[in-house]
Amino acid sequence: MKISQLLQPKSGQLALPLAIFLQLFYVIPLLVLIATSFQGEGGAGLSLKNYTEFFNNSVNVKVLIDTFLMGIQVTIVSLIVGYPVAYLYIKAPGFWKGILTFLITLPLLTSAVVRTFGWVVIMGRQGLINTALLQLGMIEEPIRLLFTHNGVLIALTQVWMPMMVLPIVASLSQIDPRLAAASQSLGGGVWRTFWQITFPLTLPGMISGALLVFALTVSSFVTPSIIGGGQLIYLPTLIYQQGIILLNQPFAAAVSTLLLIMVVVMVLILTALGRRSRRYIH
Amino acid sequence: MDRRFVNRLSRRSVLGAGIFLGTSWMLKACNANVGQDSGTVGGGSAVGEDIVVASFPGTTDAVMREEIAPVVAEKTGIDMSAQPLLAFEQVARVKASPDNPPFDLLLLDDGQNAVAIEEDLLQPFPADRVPNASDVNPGFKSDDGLAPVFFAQGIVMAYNPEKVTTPPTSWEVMLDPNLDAQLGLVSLNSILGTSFMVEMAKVLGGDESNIEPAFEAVSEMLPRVSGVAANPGALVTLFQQGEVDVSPMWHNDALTLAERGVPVAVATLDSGIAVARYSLNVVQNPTAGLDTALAGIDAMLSPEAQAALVAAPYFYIPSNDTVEFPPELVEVLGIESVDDFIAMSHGLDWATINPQRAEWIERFNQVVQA
Repeated sequence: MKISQLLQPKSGQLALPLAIFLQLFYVIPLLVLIATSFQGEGGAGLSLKNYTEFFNNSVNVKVLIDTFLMGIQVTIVSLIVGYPVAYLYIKAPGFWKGILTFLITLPLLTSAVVRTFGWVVIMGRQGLINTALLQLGMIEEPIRLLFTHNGVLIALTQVWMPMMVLPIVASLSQIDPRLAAASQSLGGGVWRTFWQITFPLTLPGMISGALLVFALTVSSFVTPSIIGGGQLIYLPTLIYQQGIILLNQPFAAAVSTLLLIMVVVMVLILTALGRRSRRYIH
Repeated sequence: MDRRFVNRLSRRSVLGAGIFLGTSWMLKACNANVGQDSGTVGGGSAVGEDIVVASFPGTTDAVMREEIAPVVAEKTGIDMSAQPLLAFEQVARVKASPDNPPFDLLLLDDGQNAVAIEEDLLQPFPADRVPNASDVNPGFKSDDGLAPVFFAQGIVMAYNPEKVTTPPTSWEVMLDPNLDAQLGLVSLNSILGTSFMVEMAKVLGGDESNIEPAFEAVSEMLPRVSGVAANPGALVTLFQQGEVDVSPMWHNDALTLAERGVPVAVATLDSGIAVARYSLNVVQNPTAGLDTALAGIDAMLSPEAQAALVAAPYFYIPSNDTVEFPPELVEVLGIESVDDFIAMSHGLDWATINPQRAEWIERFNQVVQA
């Protein structure tokens, strides 16, 4: 190799400012956070005290499980509801595509607080859902949706749905239309073509969507605290209470680290799945 | 060869220019801060200065932005910006960076003021440099050298008269299994929630040092509790949506709801009204400088600002004696002046509450978990 080649600037160097920025404002605070979570009594020494304290309290463990379940449930519901929406978008003619794009991204264009208060109005005892069900004679007493796990599930699904729909749309649009045509010309029906050709080819999109929705759901703060009220606590609310209100920063750091671990584990599982799905495609 | 040379140069120049711009921007920001600090501490005039005041989310933030900030600008030329945060958060943020606090003035209740003093976050208040402080009702002046009260709120029981036909006279009505109404509670993070628990405990034989009866009461009423609001603002929304028929509430929120046509009445309780008092205090090392901060407080204690606080739709209890009360306060609470309010209300022992509050909050959160 010539010396002049060594001196040639690499394209990777262009990312240097961003790398320095991330180091300073993301990686270092994250390391400080993790270190704080192991802080011992009186701020000195290393200790697992905060973690043992967390797992020794059944309420905290319930919060951890509830948060994980909420993440899984919102991801599954978003997938079930979001896939047909993405499919419809791909099949829609040009004019409708514009309208659908607007409708799909609409939840992202308004503030989470506004969206959530909208759900308070819809899910209340005298809200849209209860009034409609009462007038249709399907229920006699208003059903309880606000301040329930299911209420939070509904609201979070709506809030994060675009994060599932958009990656699936991207996956669907990359599929060569000749594949479906080939399948049909070889005698494959609509369903068989979908399950054996289209669906497997969109797995990477679904996995990316699932990853985004899961991570955003388990770290949501505004929606669970308004729809869930003081009666339903998830990890972000617990972190807020411990860190800001009770000023117990080491414990809050430990809870944050657990939340981080939860997301990282999910990322690893889904990345492994993604690798398998790519093997299927090629 | 030439093209390669140009390419290499452009990459480097982009990188170099980026670093140069970033560094100069950072240096400029540092320099601007220093300039602002030194300029204000020495200078007497407040004109053209900025001041950052902490406020509470909800109606307090609305009144600060829409009514108080224009009065401050008009009287002093200070550009006031309000940052809504709960009292806990204000203390936490200033504690996190005491040398460069994010606010110049903190709006805290008596309880959190005590915490802030303990943490050495506040400055003593030089009343002689704030002319409007002399108009504050003597009952609202501080005994421990802090600023006088800025406004006060009463803790009342709000109920829906369409659902609850017999006006309640005690907090105990929330324990009545025959009461056909949805109950509402609010998280103990708020002063309203904590004060409600103390008031409930007092009715049931406890007090600030014995909150046990209130926790037993909450467990007992829980099956009929429709919602535990995360903050007092969310509680107002629940009342408005018909989600809640009986709950503790700030007196001014109840009046605001009534003005919007929501069926809500304030119960006249045998135990009276507990009061939450809030004052504006200058932090240690204010970015705006002490003179500007005090000029801001003076403007906020002026009759104009105080009249905006008590007027519809806000209905806060002002501290300035010269302000007239609106007819709604006369009608619902029967008070015409600051003196009337002080006479009918009672304070809580925050010195006893504060050390236990963290434990109460944690316990309450566990008790009400669905």
